[in-house]
Amino acid sequence: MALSADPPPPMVAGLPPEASLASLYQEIILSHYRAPKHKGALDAGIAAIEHRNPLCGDVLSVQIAVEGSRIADAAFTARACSITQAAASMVLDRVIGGTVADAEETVSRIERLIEITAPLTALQSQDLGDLRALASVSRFPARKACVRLVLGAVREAIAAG
Amino acid sequence: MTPLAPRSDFPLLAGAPALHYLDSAATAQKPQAVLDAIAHFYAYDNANPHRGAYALSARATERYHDARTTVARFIGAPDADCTLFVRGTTEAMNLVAYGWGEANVQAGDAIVVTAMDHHASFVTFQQLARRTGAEFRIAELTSDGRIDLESLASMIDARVKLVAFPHVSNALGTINPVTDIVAMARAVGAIAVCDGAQAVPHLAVDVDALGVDFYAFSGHKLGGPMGIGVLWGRRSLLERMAPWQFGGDMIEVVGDQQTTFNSLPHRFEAGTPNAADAVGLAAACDYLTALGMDRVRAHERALAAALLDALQPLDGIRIFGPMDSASRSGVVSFAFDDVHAHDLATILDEHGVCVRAGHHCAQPLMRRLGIAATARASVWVHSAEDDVRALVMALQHAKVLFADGALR
Repeated sequence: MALSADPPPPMVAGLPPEASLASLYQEIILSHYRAPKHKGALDAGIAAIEHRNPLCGDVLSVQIAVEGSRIADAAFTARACSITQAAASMVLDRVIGGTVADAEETVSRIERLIEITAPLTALQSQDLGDLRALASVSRFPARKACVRLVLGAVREAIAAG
Repeated sequence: MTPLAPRSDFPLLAGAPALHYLDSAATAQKPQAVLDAIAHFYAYDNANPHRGAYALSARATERYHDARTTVARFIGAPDADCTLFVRGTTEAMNLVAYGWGEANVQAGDAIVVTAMDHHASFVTFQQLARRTGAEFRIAELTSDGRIDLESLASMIDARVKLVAFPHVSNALGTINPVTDIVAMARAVGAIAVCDGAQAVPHLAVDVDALGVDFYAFSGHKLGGPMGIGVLWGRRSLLERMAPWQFGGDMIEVVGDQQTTFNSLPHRFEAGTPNAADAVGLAAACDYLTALGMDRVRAHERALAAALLDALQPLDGIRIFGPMDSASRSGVVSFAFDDVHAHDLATILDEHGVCVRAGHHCAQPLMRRLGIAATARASVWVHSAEDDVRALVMALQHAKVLFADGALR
């Protein structure tokens, strides 16, 4: 079968796939996926919190080292999709070095962010940095669970750390 | 390769001309004839079967009875009364575990399943083993995704009471040698329980010729409604089994302290039956019979070959299961090193291509394959070569996106 010469199939959603997909698979997400930060393991004494998505079988393990009120270090391992791995990379990168309270607020903020389908207001996007890219997941309801997998594991790892 | 059945037979596909539905193994689209049959039952024949003495109830009873006869004939069941209506394959397996297993499996016995069993059977019999104290044995697979018959044979000894296996693997597409496996079970006096969910919609099935003791399938995968399925069992086994659910319809005489139970099939169908969906399932069987199951199989086999041919050249692809279309149904599972199955499914969705991504309710299998998830394309009677082309185009798009982010 000669396949490559054919024109692309008509679109279902009315948008060219590039436009909508590009919002989900932004370079920022793909680069975190290709070269994740903080992927690996910390000292074995720090609890590894493993969360699974029972619907798809993806698995994520997060370790967070808490010293006093600050997050000293964090790391993750995953057998998971690009969204989960990129989210883990971004979230850990954000919370390391900050306070536990800030980390918990970051998790809550992302939880709200992935429900916002309208363009973000200035207030909503303030100080988000790379994390802003996760807002695109709101347009792909089936993929919100990929981000929530990270948020749940991070929240529990903070509590355990 | 044109479709065997026109898309216009399926209201959902007729209404979405750009949709490439390649997830029939998860659930099939519904022919208009099935929707009509269900609507007709509710519009003209609706009453509680087996209840009223009036003509309408008698008609509802007759429709339900006729549906059972049609479905029994469709799977080659010699005895319609042994064709039990259940919610689906999962409930059928649970009926076997509770109805037969609890009375016949005990500590010291063994149960054998395969590494390609769907959770509906794997977990159900794993838990039966845990409840009874029986040993739970798992037959391994060959590297090309077939049941390793040597591994299986080595596990089937005199302690084995039950051997469960799929007729066709939902995750790999492998068509298993049912009669060979049944012979192994027979030789030690074990019963053979076959999950036919991925077989009945796709190839001619004759439960009697297969020689199995129990055979289960789901209506929704063959174009019938969700919530109805079948457990066929040998009369000699069913007659010795205690009911597993109690209530209306399944009783004969209810005394203050004891109850005697109705005959087959009613003793295993407690409560008001799902008559309308049984009628819908029978209509699906009639639809497939009119197409001809041998033609259905030939069509899907050709499409599976086209899928394999089209997917194999893709860079970095890993295709699971047998590579010859003779031992594969219209199911093709695959994975890429660099693009996770969920990302594939999201990108394909934007191209109007529906595939399943995940573990396919076969986590033990996924562990053995060393992956969390595969993408799975599956065809049926309305599928055609342009569905295959759309899939490959969308996959190429996904590869480009993940290779260098060239979308932007």
